[in-house]
Amino acid sequence: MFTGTASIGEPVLDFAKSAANENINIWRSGITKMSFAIFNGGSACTVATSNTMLQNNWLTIVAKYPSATMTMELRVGSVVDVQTNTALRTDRSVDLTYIGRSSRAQDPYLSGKIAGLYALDALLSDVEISELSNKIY
Amino acid sequence: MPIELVPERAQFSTLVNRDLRLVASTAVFDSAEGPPGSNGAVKFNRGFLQYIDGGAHSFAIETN
Repeated sequence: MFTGTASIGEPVLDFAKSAANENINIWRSGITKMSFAIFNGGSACTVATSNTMLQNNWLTIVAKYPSATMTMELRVGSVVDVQTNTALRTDRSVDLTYIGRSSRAQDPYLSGKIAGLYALDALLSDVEISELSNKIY
Repeated sequence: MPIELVPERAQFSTLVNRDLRLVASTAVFDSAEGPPGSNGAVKFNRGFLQYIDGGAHSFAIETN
C-alpha cells in the first residue's frame, strides 16, 4: 500500500550492484502508475502499468520475466501489462536488495506498507503464485 | 534460492540466513497493520528514510 504523499520514483524494491547497474526494480513511475525493469548493466527493459493505482489501497503486485519469451510482465490486481524485449536479461549477483529505497541517491524513499514480498529466480505457475499470495492473508 | 520478507519481522532474507540478521533495516513491523486476514505489515516512513536491505543475493534469471 502506498500511503502519504505520492512521489514519483518511490521504490517498492531495488536490487542492484550499484546505482543504475544490474538493477531489478519496481517503482512508482507516475502518480497512478508503476513500472518493473531489469537492467543489463545500465541498459533497461521496462514494462509500465496501464491501470490506475490508488493510494491507500492494498495491492497485489506480480512481476515476472520468463527468459524463454523475453517478456516483462507486471500485474497489479487483475490488470496485466506485458512488454517483449529483444535482448535476454542475464544472470546476476547484486550487493543491494533494497525494499523501500532506491539505489539512486536522488530518488525518494517509499511511503507505504508491505505485508509480504517474495523474490524468486524461478518461473512459477499462476496457481503457485496464488498459493504464495494467499500465505500473506 | 528465494528471498522473502520474513513473517512478522522487518527483515528481507533467505530461509538459510534468517537467523543471521545480515541485514540493515530501519523500517518497522506492526502486527496491527496489513490487509484483512494478514499477520501485520512493515511500515516505511519516507520522512525517517526507512528501508530494508537484505544484502547480497544472486538471481539466475536467464538460466533458470
